[in-house]
Amino acid sequence: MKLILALDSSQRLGGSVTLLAEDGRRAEVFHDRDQGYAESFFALVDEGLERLGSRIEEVGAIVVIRGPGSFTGLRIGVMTAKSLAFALDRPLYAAGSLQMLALAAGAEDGSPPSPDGAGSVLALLDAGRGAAYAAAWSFSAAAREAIAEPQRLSLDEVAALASRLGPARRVVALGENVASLAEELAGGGFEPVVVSSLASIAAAACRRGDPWCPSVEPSTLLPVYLGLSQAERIHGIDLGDEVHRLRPPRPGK
Amino acid sequence: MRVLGIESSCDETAVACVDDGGVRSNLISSQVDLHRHFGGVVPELASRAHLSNILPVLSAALEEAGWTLDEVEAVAATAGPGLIGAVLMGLSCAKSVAWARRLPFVGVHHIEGHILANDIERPMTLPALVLVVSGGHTQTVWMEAPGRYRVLGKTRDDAAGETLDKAAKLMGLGYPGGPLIEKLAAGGRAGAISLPVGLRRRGELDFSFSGLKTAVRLRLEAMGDEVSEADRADLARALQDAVIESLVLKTAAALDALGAGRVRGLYLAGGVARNAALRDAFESLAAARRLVFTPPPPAYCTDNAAMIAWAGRHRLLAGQRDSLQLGAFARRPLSSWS
Repeated sequence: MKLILALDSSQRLGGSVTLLAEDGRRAEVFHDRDQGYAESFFALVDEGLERLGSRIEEVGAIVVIRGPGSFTGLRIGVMTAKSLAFALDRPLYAAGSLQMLALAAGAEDGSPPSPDGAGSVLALLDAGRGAAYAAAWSFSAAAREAIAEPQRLSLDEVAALASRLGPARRVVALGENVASLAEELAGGGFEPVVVSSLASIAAAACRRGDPWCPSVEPSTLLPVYLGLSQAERIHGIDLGDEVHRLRPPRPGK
Repeated sequence: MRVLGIESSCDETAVACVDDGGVRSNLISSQVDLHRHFGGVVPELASRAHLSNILPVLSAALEEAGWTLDEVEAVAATAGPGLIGAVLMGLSCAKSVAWARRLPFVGVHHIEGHILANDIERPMTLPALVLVVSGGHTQTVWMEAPGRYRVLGKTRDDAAGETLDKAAKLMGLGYPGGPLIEKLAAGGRAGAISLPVGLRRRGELDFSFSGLKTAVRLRLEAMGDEVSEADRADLARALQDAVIESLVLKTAAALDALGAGRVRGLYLAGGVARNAALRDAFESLAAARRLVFTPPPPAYCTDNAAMIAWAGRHRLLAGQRDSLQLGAFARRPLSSWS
């Protein structure tokens, strides 16, 4: 595989583009908060390519963070990534944002989060309206097991989940609201982990064939929303897959 | 020039291929079934559905044109106005294709697309006055040439198509309401019910439809629970007549404001331009004012990508290019765009 191009616009702030070369050279370009993701993406990618002295044609695979996160940001990232995979005719890979946080907390390359070979990780993202996207995994040298699958929780529910995690536990959080919660947890026996670029974590995961960064079909890839649209919530209607189903095109008439 | 066009500003996912000879493919994937649950377009759901549908529609449009991506020479997409999250889907797709294939890219103002739908099958007679009338827009536009527009009058509240949609909802007809009102109105009696025309005063170029919507609601309330089919038909007829009277009145006012000799062509654009009674009324207006009037092809009236690709082609042939940092916009006057 040549260059891996990883895109992350999943969170309101701190999105990035990472280009990872086969020899390990890496260009990590962060999104400027004065511009929307849709405006800045290609300027970021061009800057990354320039830093590596590479060209578009050298991109061998596309990776995108598929959520959970900001609905609009997720859609821009997924739309851009799937369109690039289509137009460049390159494979597309997709990674969950909470899984990538967990990898940052020490499970990368299968290394466990504690010296004695085992531990657990609580991954947290802002979900707006006083809630968090949360997931927890236990890690050992041999396996990762879900303690709690990615879900939307109130901050109280996150605290309850945190209390279920055993010793050698780490917390990794991205977002203003969950950062303060992570600080509290750090006072209660959690080792805090700082993460900067989800795109870089995903690019590395893709490079080593991590099962948390699988290849996906561009035409059918959807974000992981973990939530109904506001209209569905208000009207009490869950349309499920009806929203995303393929609506066959017809000629204009 | 072979141009790929993408439109996603509301509830239609549309992709088209055009070249110098005209439209090679023009495909539309409609979300009407989805939004019908809510009686109107839900922006978040529109964005979600566009995301699923754009690439399959794009592939189908290329196939129908007999093109591969290698044949595409430029990419155009609606940049606004519209539902911002929905616009962003088509725009992000178009920019990605342009970047990946190193192709020129242009953003298109959705209203300019509607106007230039009149130019697809035969060149427009210019300068022209165009009435843009749809579910989201109602405005009179003076057009000197492609890319040179001045908005003369616009609605101060609801769009004409929106008024028809809302009235249809009040009358329990369903969604989208325009074609349903037109069908029902065909069986109604002219003048049986009188409804108001907003901003009627002489010389006023702007439109207003909110009073009309209220009048329909009050009339329905007065009719009580048991409304006969004949009464409903009369009401639909009165509503359609009032909307068309307003549209013709304001178009005539715009012609007066421009003065003699500054307009040669008269045009309709937008989804409501499919309405047969409106077309007839414009035929009469054009004849009275000695203007050239050609009704737009129905296929290019409602939201479609052929008009976006065609408008993009005009901009590209004029040497215009947009940066891939072009943003989507929810609102921006046509006059300040080109």
